[in-house]
Amino acid sequence: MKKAVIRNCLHGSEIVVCRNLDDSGRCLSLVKSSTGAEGIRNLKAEFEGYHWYNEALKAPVSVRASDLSRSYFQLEVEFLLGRKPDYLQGLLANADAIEFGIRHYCDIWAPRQAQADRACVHGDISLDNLIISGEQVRLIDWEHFTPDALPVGFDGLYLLFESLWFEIEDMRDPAPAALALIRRGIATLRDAGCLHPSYADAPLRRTVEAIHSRPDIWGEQLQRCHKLPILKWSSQRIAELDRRIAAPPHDQ
Amino acid sequence: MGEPPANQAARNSAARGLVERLRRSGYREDERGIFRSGQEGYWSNLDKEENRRFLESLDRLAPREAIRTSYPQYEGIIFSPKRDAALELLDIKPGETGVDYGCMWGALSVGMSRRGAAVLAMDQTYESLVFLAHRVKDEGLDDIVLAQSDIRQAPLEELADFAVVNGVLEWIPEAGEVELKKFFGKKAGRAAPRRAPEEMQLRFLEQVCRNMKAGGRLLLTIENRYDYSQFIGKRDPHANLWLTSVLPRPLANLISQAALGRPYVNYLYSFPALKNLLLKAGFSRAELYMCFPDYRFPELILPYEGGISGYVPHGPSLAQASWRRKAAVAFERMAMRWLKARFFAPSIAAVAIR
Repeated sequence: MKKAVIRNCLHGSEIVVCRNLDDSGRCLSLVKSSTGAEGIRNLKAEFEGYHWYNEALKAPVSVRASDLSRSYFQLEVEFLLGRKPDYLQGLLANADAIEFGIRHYCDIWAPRQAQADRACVHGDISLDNLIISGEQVRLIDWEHFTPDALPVGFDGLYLLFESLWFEIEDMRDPAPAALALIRRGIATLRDAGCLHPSYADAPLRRTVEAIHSRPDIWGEQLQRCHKLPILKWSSQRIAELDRRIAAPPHDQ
Repeated sequence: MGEPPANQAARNSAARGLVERLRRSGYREDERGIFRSGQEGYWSNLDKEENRRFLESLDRLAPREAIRTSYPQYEGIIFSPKRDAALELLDIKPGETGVDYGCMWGALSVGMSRRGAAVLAMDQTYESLVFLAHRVKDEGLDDIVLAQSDIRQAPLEELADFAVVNGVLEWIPEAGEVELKKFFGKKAGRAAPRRAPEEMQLRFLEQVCRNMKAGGRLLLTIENRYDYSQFIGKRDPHANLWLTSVLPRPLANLISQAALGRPYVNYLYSFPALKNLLLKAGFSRAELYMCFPDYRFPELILPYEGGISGYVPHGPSLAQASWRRKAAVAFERMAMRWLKARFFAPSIAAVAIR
């Protein structure tokens, strides 16, 4: 069987990602592996995360772990067919993917974790980690999965705000349509019982505070490579964005 | 979960087998636990005086700290987890025996060991092995066996389940010691090698093949002779001259003699020529892979056959990069994405089966 290494310790991780290919070059599965302590910890968290995720899926994602050596761990994950949104395009260009993503978050979290003060966290629900096929969404890359970690709603809000970051980065003003999309996303989370009340007054600031309250979820990657782009916003900018998200459209 | 005891036992047993085999083959273990054949040589980024001072610092500092203190520019070369990604192509099984030919500071030997193999780390340079011995002790990788030998003359028939020749084949024809700083692109009189460079490389690969069990796998990584970047201003990675890798060998030899006072011997190969060389050396088949941006810190390793469509932009953000770097990256993306110019990929990884 041929392989292709498609990611090698990207974004400061210690994880190598390979594709297992058949003779015609078709991808059969993804193999993630690590020889580093943090990478192995992340892959074990991912295995646990998929296990938790699969309990809520009618068609679970096939995952197999190999822990055969003292300092090497390997995770083989079914190759999921579908489209991966281009996160660099930001919020508005990916409006449908974001709405699918938020609804999927509610489908997975609401039955088990509605209103939970300490809900399970995926830790990296970004557009880049959604695989969309028709109306079916699958979440991948569970490397930062942490059980009972943060108030429910964190990952849904993170998806919205990371997409907003790539839309406006640090300099542009958000378009009214972008703010409306964020408001809709927050309303969907709230209506499904997937938005803890602690986020309500300032959802962006509370999301950033949540990250700072549990840096262990992201380990050294958080410092090493600015993994979570929303941390690049200043507190002033965060307050301004929260104000505009909260303000009714006619006040802007 | 954790390492099954049977795998640990298999690894320990394979390591004991390696030691016995070295003893039977005339190697003598010294006080540092390094097995010595009596053949010595020198190839190092550090010159001998630097190496002497550096090894003294290992009595006070842990290996990584010592490198960070004295030679921070080599920390990534030795310790970066990116270094051993190509080992994934070998599917190493716990308890297998692997040989790292020309292991130097052991970046890949350590990766092989962590994957559960017993490893014979072999190099001509004693100083590099002393460093690796410290690292082995520091990280508890006790199934790495260290041996000093001329890797061109190390017959160990049917010893290995797999082998690694990482950035080594091109140096095989080099006669004499290499202190890289005094050598790379510098004038240094050298006699022509006893045999043609290609023949020396072939003889070495034949021995690597014979040293493997039937069905054994070799991972060989090397720069592509026709790496596209040499056509846009990058110098030959070994002679530090322009276009010597690409030009016909006799012409490259004339240029090297004129510029450096020594023959051109660091032969690189194209994808098809490397495959031919491996088959000629006795391997039954060989799969080729393209490495981007190079084989030492690969971001992408794609099959040469049918894999170029998997090419994607890779590497760190270009926001802070120089215009030269940006132009080179734009050229690569055009060549690989649009023209599918796989023949000119920067580096080669070959997996050859005995």
